[in-house]
Amino acid sequence: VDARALAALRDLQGAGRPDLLAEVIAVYLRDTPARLAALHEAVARTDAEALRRAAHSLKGSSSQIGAVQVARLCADLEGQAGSTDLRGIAETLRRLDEAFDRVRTHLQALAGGGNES
Amino acid sequence: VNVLIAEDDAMTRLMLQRAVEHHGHACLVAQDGLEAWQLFQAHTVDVIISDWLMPLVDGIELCRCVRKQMDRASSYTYFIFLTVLEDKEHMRAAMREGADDYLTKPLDPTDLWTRLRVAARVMSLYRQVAAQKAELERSNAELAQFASVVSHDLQSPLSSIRGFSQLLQEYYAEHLDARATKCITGITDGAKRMQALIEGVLAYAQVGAQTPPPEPIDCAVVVERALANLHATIEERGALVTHGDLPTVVADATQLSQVFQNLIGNAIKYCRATPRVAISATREGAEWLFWVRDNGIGMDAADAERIFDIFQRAPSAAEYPGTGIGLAICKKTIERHGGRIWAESCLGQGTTFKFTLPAR
Repeated sequence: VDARALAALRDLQGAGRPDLLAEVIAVYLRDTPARLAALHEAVARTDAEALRRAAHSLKGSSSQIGAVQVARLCADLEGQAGSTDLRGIAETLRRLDEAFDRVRTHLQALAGGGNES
Repeated sequence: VNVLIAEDDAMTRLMLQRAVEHHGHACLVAQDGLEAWQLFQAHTVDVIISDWLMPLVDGIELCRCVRKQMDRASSYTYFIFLTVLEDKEHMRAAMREGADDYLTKPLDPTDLWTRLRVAARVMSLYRQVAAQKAELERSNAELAQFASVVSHDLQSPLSSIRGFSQLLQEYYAEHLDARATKCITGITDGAKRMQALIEGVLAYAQVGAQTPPPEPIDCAVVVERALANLHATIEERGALVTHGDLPTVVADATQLSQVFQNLIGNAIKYCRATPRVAISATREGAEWLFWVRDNGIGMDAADAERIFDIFQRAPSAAEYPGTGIGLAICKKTIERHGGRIWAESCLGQGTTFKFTLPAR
């Protein structure tokens, strides 16, 4: 997770919104699993357009929260959508799941710490 | 400012909302373009911040709808697109479709605040312009209304004056000596002059009010129509009016015919010799240049500009009857058609009136 993106959130938070960072992280962690599921489903249905859209929107929110690797893998998926390289797509998707797991652990710790301080 | 956010991602939406509210701006949020469009129609919205890809109605479509609506209503909405940094083509397309600015994801709140300051600046300029335009329209309408009401209201007492002086002359003809008859004639002539003035003011006020859209017209036909209206005067003075090839222009035929009629009529009226009037036109770049040249009494070059102002007449014209309105009508008409009008003259040397009209 890129600290700079979170710094922007902290700026906002510092300005009288003590819960903002935790709030944003909660929304991200709440929405992302459904997005990943949508990606898997799009791949299963070989629906290139749905894959591209889902990847694009996950890319946006992930880059916003500083989940750089998740965002990059989403960009890769966007590029791969519509190609015949199904194995490549499956591989990117697998790495995406792993990347998100790491981000989740990190953000949960961060949100917890934020709440305590 | 009132901000409307259209963003389908809950997290980005939340961030945007907090960042907007942070500076005390009112904020509406929509989860997709359709909801945003509905909110836009129900509320006063100064700034829209919209994502590119959204379900149902996407950002570009929302932008198009907002701009279309704006053409009808007299308000401005500052449209900011939200897009991922590397989608350069999206930014360009958005600006082409009428967006004012863009923000890139990941979003930096400082960027957003800067944009909102720019938006506030643009909105304030727009409001000033709109207020001035409304004021201008109101005062123009008031003036036209005033001229028309005054003219109509002046007509009826004037009719009384004319009518009663006529009756006076008829009923008391045998009791009136030459001096009294002269006085009554003076009253009647004055009333006639005033009638002409009122009609002129009325015509001046009506130039450009509720005119049909201009269409391509053949100027030769327009000039012939003016000559037909001037038929009696031309016969009476034995005037020779000629014209060369004349172009087709986009204009209001009735108004343009009135311009030619005024110019040719003047040329014949302000002339001691047998009037000779030549009309021609040449193409000058993107315009047609028209000439109406006469062999009349002419005027000082210094007066040539003034005579287009309403009620202004050249001193050399003082001995001829006239209201000082005809050329003002010409000027107003030509300028409303996107042209210019002026006169070139020397005292005793005749006058050339020139005017331009945009070529198609």
